[in-house]
Formats: sequence, C-alpha cells, structure tokens
Amino acid sequence: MRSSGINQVRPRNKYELMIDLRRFGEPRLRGKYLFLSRIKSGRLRDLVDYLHWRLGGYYSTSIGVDERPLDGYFHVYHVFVLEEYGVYVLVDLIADPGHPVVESITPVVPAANWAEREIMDFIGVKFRGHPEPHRLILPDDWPENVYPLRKDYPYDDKLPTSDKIAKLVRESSPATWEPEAPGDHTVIPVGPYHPALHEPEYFELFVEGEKIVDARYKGFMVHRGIEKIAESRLSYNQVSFIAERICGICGFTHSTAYCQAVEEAAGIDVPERAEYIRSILLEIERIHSHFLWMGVAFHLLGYDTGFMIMWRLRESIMDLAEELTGSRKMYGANIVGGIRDKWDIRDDKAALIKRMLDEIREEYLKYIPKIISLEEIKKRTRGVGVLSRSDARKYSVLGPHARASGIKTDVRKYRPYAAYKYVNVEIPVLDDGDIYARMIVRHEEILASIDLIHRLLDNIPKTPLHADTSYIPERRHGIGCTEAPRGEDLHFVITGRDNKLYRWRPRAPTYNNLLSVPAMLRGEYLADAPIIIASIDPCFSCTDHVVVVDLRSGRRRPLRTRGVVGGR
Amino acid sequence: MVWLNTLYGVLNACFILLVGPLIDGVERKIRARLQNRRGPSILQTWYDLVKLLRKPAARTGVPSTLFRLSVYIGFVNLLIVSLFIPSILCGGMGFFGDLILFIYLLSSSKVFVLIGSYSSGSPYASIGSTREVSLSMASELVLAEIIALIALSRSSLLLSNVFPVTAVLRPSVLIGLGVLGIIVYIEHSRLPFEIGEAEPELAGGYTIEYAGRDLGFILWSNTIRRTLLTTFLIDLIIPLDVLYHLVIYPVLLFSIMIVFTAIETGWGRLRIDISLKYVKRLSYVMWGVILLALIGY
Amino acid sequence: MNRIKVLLENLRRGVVTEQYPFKPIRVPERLRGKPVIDPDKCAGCGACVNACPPNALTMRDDKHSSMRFIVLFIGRCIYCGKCEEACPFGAIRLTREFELAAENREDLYQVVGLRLYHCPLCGEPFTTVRLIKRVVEALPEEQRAAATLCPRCRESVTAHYRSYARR
Ligand code: SF4
Ligand code: SF4
Repeated sequence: MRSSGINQVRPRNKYELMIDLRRFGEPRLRGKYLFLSRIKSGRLRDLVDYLHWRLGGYYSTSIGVDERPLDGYFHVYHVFVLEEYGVYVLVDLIADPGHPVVESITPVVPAANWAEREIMDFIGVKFRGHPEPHRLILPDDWPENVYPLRKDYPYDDKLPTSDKIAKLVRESSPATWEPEAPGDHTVIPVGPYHPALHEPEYFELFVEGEKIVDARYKGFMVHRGIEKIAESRLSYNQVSFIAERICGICGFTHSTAYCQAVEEAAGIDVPERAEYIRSILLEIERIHSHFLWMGVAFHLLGYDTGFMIMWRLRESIMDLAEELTGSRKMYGANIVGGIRDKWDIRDDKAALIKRMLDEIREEYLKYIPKIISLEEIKKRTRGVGVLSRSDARKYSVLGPHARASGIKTDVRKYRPYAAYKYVNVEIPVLDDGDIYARMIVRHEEILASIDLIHRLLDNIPKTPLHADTSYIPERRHGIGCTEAPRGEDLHFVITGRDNKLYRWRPRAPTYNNLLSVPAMLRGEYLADAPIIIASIDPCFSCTDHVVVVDLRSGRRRPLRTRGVVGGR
Repeated sequence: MVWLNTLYGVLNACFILLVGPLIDGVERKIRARLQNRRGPSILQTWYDLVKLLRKPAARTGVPSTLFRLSVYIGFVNLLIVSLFIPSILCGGMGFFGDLILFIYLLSSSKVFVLIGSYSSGSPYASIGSTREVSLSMASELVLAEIIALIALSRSSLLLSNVFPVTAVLRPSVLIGLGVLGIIVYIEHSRLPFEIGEAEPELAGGYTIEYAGRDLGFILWSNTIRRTLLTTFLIDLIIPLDVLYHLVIYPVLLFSIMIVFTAIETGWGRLRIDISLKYVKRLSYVMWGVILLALIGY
Repeated sequence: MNRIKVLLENLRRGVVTEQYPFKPIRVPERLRGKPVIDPDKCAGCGACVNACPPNALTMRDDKHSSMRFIVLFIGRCIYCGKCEEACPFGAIRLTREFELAAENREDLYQVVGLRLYHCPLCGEPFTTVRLIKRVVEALPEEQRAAATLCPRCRESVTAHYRSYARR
C-alpha cells in the first residue's frame, strides 16, 4: 500500500496526529477520541494502512450504527487504538440509506473480516471489495433484507413461523458459500459439540494422515440478542448486569468496560475507592480465569492430575469471590458511576483476601514448576501452534496471546483505567509465540495479579463508592476498554434518551484472537488441534454475544459437513 | 483329567470376567485419591457396565455386519484365552494351546473392534483406530521378540512348558520380563499411550460410534484384556502351583494394577509419533536381549 | 521425579471434594440466593419491578377482583439484588437458599396479592390500599386529603391553587 501524502514526518503527539490526518478527512478531537469523518474518496485504504501498519496502532473493531433517526445515515465506525498517542481513532464512514455501501478495509487489515461481515448481517451496510462477503452470524434460513439491529426492527418481533421462513428462503435464497476442501483430504469436523470445546463452535480440519493441511472456522452459534434488548428495553444501570452475563468467566470485565464506556460518554468521574474495588475484583477474576485455562490446557494434554490441581486452586479463588460478592462468578458489583454500597471491601475483608491469596500462591508455586517441567507437557507445547509476530499484527490479536508473540500490549499499562492509573502493572512478554509461551505468560500473570491485589489493598483510599449519575447527555460516544483475561475487551456506546442507550456494542478479545487460529493449525498434528485452539483461551460466548437468533422455526437445516463453514 | 481341566478353565474364565471390572473400579478409586478426590465406589465400573448392557445399542446409519459383530468376536476371543490361561486356579483347558495362539487371540480381540470401528466411516473412529493399530503393531513386534526370548530360554512354545519362565534365572530373562512389563503397560492403553480413545482429542476415538450394549461389551473386553495381559506376566513369574495361584496371584494382580494406575496418574498424553518412537526403542533393546540369550546369559 | 513429587504433594493434602448433596455444604454469609417477598411488608409499590433487569418481577392489576399482583418468577431471576436495594419497605430480601430445582414450573413463582385502592373521586384504581395507608400515615395532617386522590384528580383539584402549573 502506498502511503502518499505531503507530510511524511511522524506526528509526535495527538494534536500533530490530528493535523496529519487532515489529508485523509476531517478530524475532530474530543478527549481520547479522534473522530475522522468525511474520508476523501479513495483514501480510506491508505488511511487504514497508515494507522494500522505504519503508525504502530492497531485495528480494534468496527461498529455499525443505524443513525437514520438522528441524521439520516447509517454509520460505520472503525476503531483504531493508537496507544502511543493515547487516542482512539474512530474512522466514521457514512452510508446512504437508499444504497448503503462503503469500502471494505479487510484487504488491508484482515482482522476486520468478521466485524465488517457482522455489520452486513445486522445493519445491512455492504462492504465493497470484501474478500468473503458472506453471512457470518445470521443463520441460513434468516430471510434476506431483515436487519435486526436497525432501529425500525422491533426487539420483540416474532419471526415468521417455519413455513413462512422456508418460503422466504426459497424465494430469496441467501447467498450460501460452500468452500472446497483443499485437495482430496479427510475432513475432520471439530464441533459444534466436541469435548475439547466447551461451547458450541465449529472447526473444520482438513487432514492428511495425522497432519492438518488447512482449517476453517465457523462460529456464532450462540447469539443471545443482548445488544438489541439493551438498546430497546433496559436502563443504563440494568445493562451492566446483562453485560456481566455475556461471559461466565470474565463477566466482571465486561460490566466494567460497559460502565466505563457510559462514564466516558457522560463525563462521570468515578470515585477512587470504587476504582480500586473494581481493579481488585478484576484481578481476582483474571486469576480465576487463568487457573481455569491452565486446568483445561492440562486436561487437553491428557494430564488430568494437573487439571484437578488447577481447578482446585480455582475453587479457592471462587470461594474468595463468593465471600466478597455473594456469588462465585457473577459479582454484580458494578453500576454506572461506581460500585454498589454492599460491595465495599472493608478491612476485615481485605485481610481475608490477603490471607487466602497467600495460601493460594504458596500452593500454586509448589505445583506449577514441577508440572510445566514434565516431558510430555513440554514436548507438546514447545514449538507447537506458533504464531509469528507479524501474523499476530495481521490479525490484531490481543492479550496474553499477543504478549506471547512478542507484542507489548496491555490496556492496564498503556491505557490505564480504574485503579491501574495509580499502580505499576508488570506485563510479561515472550517472543516464542508457541503454546508454551502462552502458558508461561499466563503463569506470570497469575503471580503478578496476586502481587497487584496486595498493593491495591494497601492503598485503597476512603472515598464514596459512587458518583452522581442523574444526568447522562444524549448522543455521546464512549469507549470503555479493559484488559480482560484474554485481552482487550472493548465496549462502544452511544447514549440515548429516556435513560437508555442508543447503541451498545461489546467486542470481546476472542473475536480478534480466533481469526488467528486457522493460521496456527496449518501443518500441525491433529492430536495437537485441541490444545492449539484452546491456547488462545477462546471464549465463544463472549464472541457470539450479539444478536437474537431465536428462531422458532422448529427445525433447522440439517448440518452438512461442508456447507456450514463460511456460509451462514 | 480333561473334565477337571475344563472345570478349572471355566472357573478361571468366570474369575477373569468378574474381576476385570472390579479392578477397574479399584483403579478409579486410587486415581481419585491421587487427585484429591473422593472418587466413586469401587463397584462403579460394574454399575456402569450393568447399565450399558441393559441398554439397546443405538447405531448411526446402516451399520455393516462387521461393525456389529466385531465387538462380540473380540469378546469371545478373550473368553477363549481366559479358558486356557491359569489364573486364580492353577490349571485350565490351556495345556494344548501354544504361546503364539495365545498372543494371536489376545491381540486380535482388539484388532477386530478396531476394524469394526473403522468400518463405521466416522473420521474420529478411523483416526482413533489407525492410531491404536499402529501403536499395537509396534508393540506386538516387541512382544514377538519377547516370545522368541521365552522360547529360547524354555526351548518350547507350549503354554504348559513356558510357565514360569523364571525357572531359568538368567539376566536376559530378567530384562525380558522388565520389557514385557512395559509392553503390558502399553497394551493396557494407559497414559501416556492412551491415544486411541483420547477423549479430549478424538471424543472417544474408536469407541465413538458404539453405544449401549455394544459399548458395554467393548469396555468389559478392555478390562478383561488388561487383566489377562497382567495374568500372563504373573504366570511367567510365579511357580505353577495351586497355593501360589490362589494366594500370591491375586495379590500380585491387584498390586501391579495399582502401581500401573499410580504411574498413569502422573502422566499426560503423548502424541502418536512420540509414542511410536518410544516403542521402537524398546524393540532395539529386545534385539540386544535376544543376543544376550543366544550367547547363554 | 517431578511427576512423583506432584502426586506425593497431592497425597499429603488429602481429599478435598465434598460429599454434597449427601451432606450439606457451607455457604458464605452473604450468598445471594433466592429472593423472597415478605407478603406482610410488601405494599405493592412496584419499585422492585422497575429495577429488575431480566423482568423476573412483574406487576399486574386485576380490575375484576380489584387486586394487584406482584409476581416473582425465579426462573428468570439473576440474583442481582437490585430489588432488595430498590424496595422502600425492606419487603423483598435475597435469602441464602440456592437449591432451587423444582418439579413444577408453578413452584418457581411467588405471588403477592394486594387490594387495589380506588380513587374516591373517579373510582379508578391507581395504587394499593396498603401503600396509600402508609403514605397517608407518613404525611402531615394537611396534605393527607390530597394524597388519597389519583394523580389526575389531584391535579384537577389542586390546579386552581397554582398560578403556574406545568414544567
Ligand atoms: S434479584 Fe435481581 S433478577 Fe432477581 S428478582 Fe431481584 S432484581 Fe430481579
Ligand atoms: S417488594 Fe418492595 S419494592 Fe417490591 S412491590 Fe413490594 S414493597 Fe414495592
């Protein structure tokens, strides 16, 4: 890609960046957000190339919004994170409602593949030049030209009965796509239900003997439509509870990211004590999640003893969480503007946390060095499932997955939120890019998190627990980012009226990380496929979050081995 | 005499049929304790089996005759073996069989199931059975070498003559027995060599297409095969004597199984290529041992 | 060697699994379990209904029987405790009960019925008898009469007192 332009000097700060970006469109800086609208025709891909590949930023996600009731257009926001400048660049594309087409950026940044297709499915904006313009999330028998996230589509709409759907499908025949297997290989379906995947997802492996030649992925089987519900029915404070239920492992990070997004949009200052409590609970959640991952990894490597040990440790963390919040996993602590009163961490609880964490650390350290030195664990993780640094950039992978491939990234450190502003966060970075590296990164993070909680507890200030949130202005954009156990978790909101959101889109880290899995699977042994898939710690329910596809159609089309891949 | 031997054989077979699942239950308890778990009752494997055997065998598609019969052919093979190998009672119908037949029946029982499973066409089943076949081919080569060693040492291939091989105490025999122990362990398909079922990878591998009664018989056969293999090892060690068999044999049987379980609990699963490498190494060792035996040690 | 050490360490720690459900299990003090409405305290104000994110709490006025029903359906509850926070009378509480499997769907409902209060002027029901009593009791003498009217009647009655009426 060319990066032509007058100004070839690298901008030094966000103001210079804003001036620099004038050659692509009209920039507007608001706090952390650099909106870039009215992109000059033909310059979009140059811009994206510049932001993602040259300025050291990375593509995070894209959001489609039906803003016809507000300004008469569909909008597509491509979010780029430029940690160095401390800004989010929001490339704001406008699509005409009569002919909603914008240019695709996937050819420049493959990471945008799914996000763009999701917008095609839900908002109905088409992307010119997208390499795979097929359905991603909506099922095959979803009628054409029904876009569930448009504002004129009611949230409680009952879909037509199965006959009508069948008829619609017959008439419209949505574009399904059946990829050819590369050459004449055995096809191994992994999923939609498979003991290695604890959620319904579908990988298709093309194998030769025991070697994987190619891999395809098809997911999005568990949409729950919470975006639509939140935009239509729930108040700001109710959404935080739905957000927590996006995921059964990293729920709290979702509700924090959501609250932060609304707080950003409304300009609410969260009291420090609430920030500390959020951080403490977030770290507890991270430890929990990493223990869980370790257990699963050992189980997939056949080492069930290690699995039992890790889950036993995780059980202690869950007990701790239960003591603090009244629930093992759904902490329920967050509201917009802070933390609920009963969730305060007083001194007795602080002592309990410290004592339990010390015990857990001691026990963990007794086991883990011995376990990771086991021959079969090393043999099956070293040099397996390698993702190079450049591939990691290509797919915008996040979190421990990125850190194991030599990318220094961590929202806590580079875009600090909550109480991470006040403490130093250590982040382990390894260069090997294999499963072993991912394991070690997580291992280090467990220890770092325990340490971090201790420091946070020592400094927890006495302030109120929540801010006044009675006024939330309309039509403000907000982005809330947290470092979930699996990487950057991004929530995008546009505020609305009547105590409701206009638009909410959560983007979980697995959304980006999954795109890299087929690349890691190629050329590996079939026996290693489960551990390779699991090594990114995939969380499918997070990824699939979004739309109601509660088809009352009775029967779905039977699952064909081939047809389900990229087709829906 | 023939009648008595027949009676012995039948009683022995009954013992093996009953004790196989029981040992498995004990193993599950041991494994649980090693993993800080309470674990199920030691009769759990029997409960599972009874439940499975009472259920009809659900089958996908149109199963071939091979698919259906193979399980039972395998089971009958094992039954025959248990009739003529001395286990709890010192004796059996066995004394006309020879070692080669014994090994053949024992390993073919597994091969039948694998072929049947392969014929189902399920990719998981075919990969699982391919893995299992390649591993057992490798280990059977070692087994053949061991038999050659035994035949050399005892100058016979008749079962009644080779037991116990410890009657001739030579270094080669001792090493051979050690290798046989490892091979028995591998043939038990225990971790790290449990690669044909590989639940997290292959969702049950070669057993995936079987259900209900069929699956029950496969699981039962597996426990029986394990018991028979261990019995064979013990028979080579302890004297062919009534008392020894009545007292020492069951003690040894359970202890070996428990030791194996403890070892297994400490391991993860190896990949097929790495496991094969291990087994190949064993076969080189055996060549050396045979040489040793040839020169009289 | 390490693999043996791991097992030995395990043995040293002993059994950790519980015999639940054969033996009861310890739950922490502040476990958020099944919400229960105290029918003697509930005044049917509907604050909890508004707060409940997943609509586990609903409210229905039945004009025939002149009753208001506050319906709690545990099947939808997410144990967030919002209702507890919202209730002005401390009538709904989260208990520590967590074994909620039921054989009938009906067992998952709790229904509190309260008599509706009708406006003495227009006769429209607008709140419950119990709530109006509590409100009236809490008010100073001179404001009580107005409080017993439905919002619309109250407005028309009091309108002429105000020279400026609406926001
Ligand atoms: S606990 Fe939450 S979900 Fe349950 S009834 Fe109360 S408000 Fe509703
Ligand atoms: S439980 Fe409390 S909040 Fe709910 S209706 Fe009754 S009094 Fe009102």
